[in-house]
Amino acid sequence: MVQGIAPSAAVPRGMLIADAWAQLGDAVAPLSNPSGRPLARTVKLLLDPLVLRPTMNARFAGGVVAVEHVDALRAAILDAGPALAATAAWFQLVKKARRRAGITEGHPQDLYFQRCFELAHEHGDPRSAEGAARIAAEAVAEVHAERGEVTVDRLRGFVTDPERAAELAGLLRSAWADRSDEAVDAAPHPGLAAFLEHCATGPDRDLWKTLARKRVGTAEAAALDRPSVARGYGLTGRERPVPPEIGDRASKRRLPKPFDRSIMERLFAAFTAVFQRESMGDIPALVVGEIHRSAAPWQLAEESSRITMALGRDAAKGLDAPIEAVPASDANARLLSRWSRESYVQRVLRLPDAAARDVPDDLRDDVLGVDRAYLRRLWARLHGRELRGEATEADDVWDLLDGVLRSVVMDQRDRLRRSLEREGDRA
Amino acid sequence: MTEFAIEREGPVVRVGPERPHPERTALVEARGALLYWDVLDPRSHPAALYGDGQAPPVHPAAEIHDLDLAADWLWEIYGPEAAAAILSGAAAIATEADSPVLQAARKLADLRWIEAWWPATHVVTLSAQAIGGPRAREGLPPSYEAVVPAPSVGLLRAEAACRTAEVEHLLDDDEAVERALDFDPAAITALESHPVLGSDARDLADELADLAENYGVVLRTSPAPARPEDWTLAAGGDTGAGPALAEGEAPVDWASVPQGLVDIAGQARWSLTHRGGASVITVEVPAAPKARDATLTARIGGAGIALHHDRDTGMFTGEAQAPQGFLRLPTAQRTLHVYDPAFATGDAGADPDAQARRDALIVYAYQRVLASDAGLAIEAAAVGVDLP
Repeated sequence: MVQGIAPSAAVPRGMLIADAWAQLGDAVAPLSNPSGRPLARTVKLLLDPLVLRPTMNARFAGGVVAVEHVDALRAAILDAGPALAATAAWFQLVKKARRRAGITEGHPQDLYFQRCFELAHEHGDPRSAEGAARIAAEAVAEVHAERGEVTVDRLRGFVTDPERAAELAGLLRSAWADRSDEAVDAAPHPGLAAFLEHCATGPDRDLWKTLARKRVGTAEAAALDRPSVARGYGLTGRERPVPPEIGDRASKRRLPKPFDRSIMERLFAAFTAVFQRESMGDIPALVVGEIHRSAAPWQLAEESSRITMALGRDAAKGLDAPIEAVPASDANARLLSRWSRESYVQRVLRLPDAAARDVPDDLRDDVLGVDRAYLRRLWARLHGRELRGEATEADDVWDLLDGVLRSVVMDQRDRLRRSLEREGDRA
Repeated sequence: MTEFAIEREGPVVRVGPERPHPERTALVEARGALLYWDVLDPRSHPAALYGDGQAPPVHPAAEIHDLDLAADWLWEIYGPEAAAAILSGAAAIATEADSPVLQAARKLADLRWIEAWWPATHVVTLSAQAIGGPRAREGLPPSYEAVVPAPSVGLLRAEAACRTAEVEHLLDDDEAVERALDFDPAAITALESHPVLGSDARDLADELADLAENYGVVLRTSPAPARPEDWTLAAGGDTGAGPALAEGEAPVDWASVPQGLVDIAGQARWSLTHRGGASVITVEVPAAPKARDATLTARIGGAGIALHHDRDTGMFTGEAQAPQGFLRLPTAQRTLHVYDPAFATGDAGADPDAQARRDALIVYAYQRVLASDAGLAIEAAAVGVDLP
């Protein structure tokens, strides 16, 4: 029991989880941090989606749990105890197998936690399962199959094959020629602001479906073809988007802006940024799909992605001048608040002022035009989700919108810090 | 006992005082809130920080912007009762609750503060009275020269990575541990063979290896750092100058330079001399202990002067021809202003509190150096171990 839980109307969920978790003891230590709490990813990948399921069990959702559900929540975790202990034991074995195989790529918790939970259900506790070490080794091999440079090489081989060049170029031409340029009413749809008002606290799933049915994301893309609009969003360096090249090379550093990336660069970026290639299609289908995607509204294939781009555009409004900005929605206010905290945090961390003369130009542009860096990162996230076949639902939107700004901010801090470390080399 | 008032303004709930000045802020970015300790808070006396556990816990002030997210962990920082009070709209809290998570959060904040603002200096004159604390004052003359050594950044980051892992469940950044592990561990490797601190260093190395495996991070390795004799020395070359026609000095605004370049207690000096028929302004800024190479800019009377690190003299030095009419400028316009153009715009206004705050932080840091258990990085610096 974690310090006395006072008999009040509601109890912090984190306290209940910590309490129940402590009762599971050392058996779950591999899933715990050094303070004995479940790891952040234990909660995110195991407890939430597989044990507590707050999206289905509303009583287990939110920061506090009503006192009448306290016992049920504790029981849910304790009932899962044996499965979690077995998951932890499998995780140890899988890590050992990974070490033996010399694999260092990817995050072990992201890669194996849910696989270990499956193994726990298929085989029980590995200490009493026959051939556990072999099973663990196979699981590692399976997760890591079809990864690595081989795939990028095959992609490059496919797009640079002279016999296919004409065919791919033709496909790209016709995809862009077929783009509908119907005049759409570009007045902002009121549903977007309404959705942003509640997406952080209680997303409106019906409204989300309505936005999709009315193809609001597609309609919002119409303006992108007007002069300077897509450039103002930071999605291209050109006056208007033009058809991409097929491309034959790509490098992790200095990728062009999303709409200026070649087909090769778009796929390459997704291959290297995200470590879940097994859920992607085969190379020819990926390339053809990417060609069609490039000609689609927001250069994304799914309506849900396009709506999320429109939402992100509106939620990021004013980030480039947060002091004057008047929030247009709750989500907008939250992002503005994160960004205005960031300037204090950067001073506390004694990071360089991005406006300083010798800060690299691209870094300065990204910090001072954070709204554009934000939409670029959001586009890349949505693009990655499409390639992996991950649907974007109403409940995912705020995590995406907020997570993208956090990721942009953290990335900028790393770059600011590195710009100082490089300073010595220039002197 | 910590007693904090609670203020609620719109969606923001503030527990305790407002954010301190960035230079004296030890910060943790938690999910849904900023937690901050004021480094100059009297309760933050070194004995309370890495002491023997006798001192009462020092709770952070908080700026909570998402109460629902913060509910998950507030009880670990303030105790269940104070957390319930914060969540239920109370106007104040009082708490004595302590927990390993609170201690880890505080140490993490402290390590990050040291990395950013630790005021290393080759020499600073302190009064024994300022030092305070009976143990520190014992046997000291009323005024004396002290050294605040620079801790190893590698050791600080190593300790910070371990503390980060202990509080990862309440941090805003879901990749905080991975990010914290992205540093050069050469300092720990070097310290492992030390007769006194070696065993701490080996424990730290083991802990980091475990973390690296659990988070899929390959710890960086780097070639051995350059030894001082490998560096080419900058040319000295101020021979032949006549006596100074004018000179002056000014402190360096440490918010205008990155950590680790400038001796925090040193004064930047300028002088004007005649040499070969020309008036030349020469500027010298004492470099911090273990300063790396960089180029600073000095501005005085409309002239901009690049200052290069001279490892031979331990100074950033540079010179330039004096602008026309320099000697006729009023003294106020002959104020020397030093900044790093890769760090600041050089337009910072004067801050009347800067000097007092800096002096207080130097005294605080010196107390930390004298304290018996100040954390591995400070201890290693205090005993003079040379580490990257």
